[in-house]
Amino acid sequence: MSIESWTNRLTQSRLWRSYFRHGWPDNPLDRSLLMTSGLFFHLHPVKVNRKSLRWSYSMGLGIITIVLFLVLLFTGTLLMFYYIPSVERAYPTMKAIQTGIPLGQFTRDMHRWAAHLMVLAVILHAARVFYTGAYKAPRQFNWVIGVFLLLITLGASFTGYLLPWDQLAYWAITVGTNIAGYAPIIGSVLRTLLLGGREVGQNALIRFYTLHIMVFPLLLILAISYHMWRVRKDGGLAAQEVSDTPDAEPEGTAPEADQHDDNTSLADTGRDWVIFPRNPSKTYGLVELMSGTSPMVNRGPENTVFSFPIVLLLELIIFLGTTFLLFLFSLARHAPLGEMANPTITIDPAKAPWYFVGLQELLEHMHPTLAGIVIPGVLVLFLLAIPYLDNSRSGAGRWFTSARGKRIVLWTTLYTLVVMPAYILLDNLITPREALRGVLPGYVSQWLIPIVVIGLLVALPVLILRRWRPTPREIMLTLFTVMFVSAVIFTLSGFFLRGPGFKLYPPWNMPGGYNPLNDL
Amino acid sequence: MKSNENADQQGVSRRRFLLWGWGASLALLLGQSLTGLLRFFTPMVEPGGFGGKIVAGQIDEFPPGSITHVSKGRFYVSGMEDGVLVMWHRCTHLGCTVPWREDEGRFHCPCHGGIYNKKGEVLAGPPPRPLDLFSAEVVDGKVVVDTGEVTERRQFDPSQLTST
Ligand code: FES
Repeated sequence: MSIESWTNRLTQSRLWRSYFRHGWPDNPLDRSLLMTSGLFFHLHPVKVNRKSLRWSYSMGLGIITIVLFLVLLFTGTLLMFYYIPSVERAYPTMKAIQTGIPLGQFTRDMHRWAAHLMVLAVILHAARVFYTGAYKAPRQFNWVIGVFLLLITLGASFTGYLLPWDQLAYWAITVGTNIAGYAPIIGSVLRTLLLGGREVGQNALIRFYTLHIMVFPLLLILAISYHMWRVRKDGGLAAQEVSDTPDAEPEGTAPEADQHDDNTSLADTGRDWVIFPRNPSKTYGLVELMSGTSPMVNRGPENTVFSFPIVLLLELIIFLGTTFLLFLFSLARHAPLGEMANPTITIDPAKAPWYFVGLQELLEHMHPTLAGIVIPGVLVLFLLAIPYLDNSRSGAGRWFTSARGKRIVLWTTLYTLVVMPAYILLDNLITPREALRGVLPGYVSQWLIPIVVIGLLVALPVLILRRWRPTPREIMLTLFTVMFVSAVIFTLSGFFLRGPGFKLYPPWNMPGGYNPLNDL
Repeated sequence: MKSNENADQQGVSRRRFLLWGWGASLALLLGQSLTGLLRFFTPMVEPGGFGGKIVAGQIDEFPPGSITHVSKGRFYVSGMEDGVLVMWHRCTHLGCTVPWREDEGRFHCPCHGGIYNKKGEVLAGPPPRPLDLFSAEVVDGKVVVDTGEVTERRQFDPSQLTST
């Protein structure tokens, strides 16, 4: 029997027809129907822009994130079958998972690696979306959702960090939650809420556990679904579809409609062609005409292909590639498990998880409220505000928007690469806090000096740029690049250069054989 | 109801009044639920363990100049001329446990190099204030420490000492 007759028999069967409202997806109509009528499929668009499918454009980072999340859900559920969130039992069950359960160690490795990589993928995805200008109208709000997704992902990862209940976890979470304690006014309440007490103990463990396995995953599922659905609603990936000089005539079909002789024209549109022709051979139906713009304005079916099967195929490839990579990572390196948590002995150095180690580096240079609350708060607000500060529609869907944008990003990157390491080293050498101790009040060295210095370092490139009359987009490019590159530098410095006592050491010469990579 | 009729009336229309009533009640309900939720997540401490009253030992076990770590209560008892000072062993910077370094003769936090003297005052490093205090009293010659109440302070003051 040929394949065709098999698919025919399948699509004619009662079961098939009871579930699908369409035939085998080998023609445009059924391919559209497949995408619009299934709950999971309908998160996808029916047709996608050819350019948006290029690896060099999106790098598949969004899908990679989702794949990692699925892996996390799966391996996390497996781990839950053995793990007990109790101060006495948590650590022994971790040991048991690693030594007494077939593939237990492997499952935990996969979970750990997927968690690290998911945070990384979300950050890179955000950077990709920013640099390709994909946050621009009409996608502003999806960018906002994306910022919240970043925060939720960090929360999910951070709460999971405590669960092994080893020294590494215990002190990372102690340091992390104490930063929250520096929030003005609500600080100590917030800390107590998180921990269920004054220190990391049984209450904190079970709180983190519940947040980790229930609250954050649910939020993620909801927000990711919304985020994807919204991509479709906002007209797919922003791949240069809005050309700055519109060359296609969007109303080109109008004269054709004119030919249907019918006079039930809409009186209030004031147009002289017929929009709702009564014609027995008509194969479409319009619901209503309204004034206003939709994400599809200025875009036609040119340059698009059906999502089925190409998008699904790409997703499958990304899925296989990502899980394969995880598999290799897990074979190459086991998730660490140190000594059991001991509240009376602090490990040295006590480092936060890698995505917060940049903040910890920042903490070395200023007052904890400034480094742990004010600066991160300002950064999140800045991220949220980007699409509203730069609200032009043009220049979306292209890396760095223009050749000039590219040059701006390049120079800003170089500038930050010089300035921020210099700041870290100089501040470490002089340390205004110690130099001015007892001479001037604490807020001068801990607040005033860092605010002025960092403020100047951030403002300088923007001030220089003003000479060339930058567009809002170009100012955003500068600011975002300063932020992004600084975050990378602070993270690398905190991760690789900070040794015992959180002092700066050359990475090849860490005292006591300390290896920062062991903390991953 | 026509809108110009509304505008003619003095004061608040019935519709508007009901609308505000509904809005206010819903806001109240929400606030109440949130308060309840917050309270649910603020447990009361159980007595006996950390957070309750703990007996550190006889007062004469803490002679002037001595530093004793009571790990059950998470505090240090620092013996002074005029009494003892009970300090939480938690670094005021980011919460690491501060070890007493006999060789250095001071508290030295391993996390970011915070250094405190015997009175808990900051000598160097990022901690923003001296080590926090627990209140203590002497009952029948024993030092009883109330670990439920933490006192933050700006500097050392002899009134912080506990004596017989
Ligand atoms: S926690 Fe002690 S110095 Fe930072």
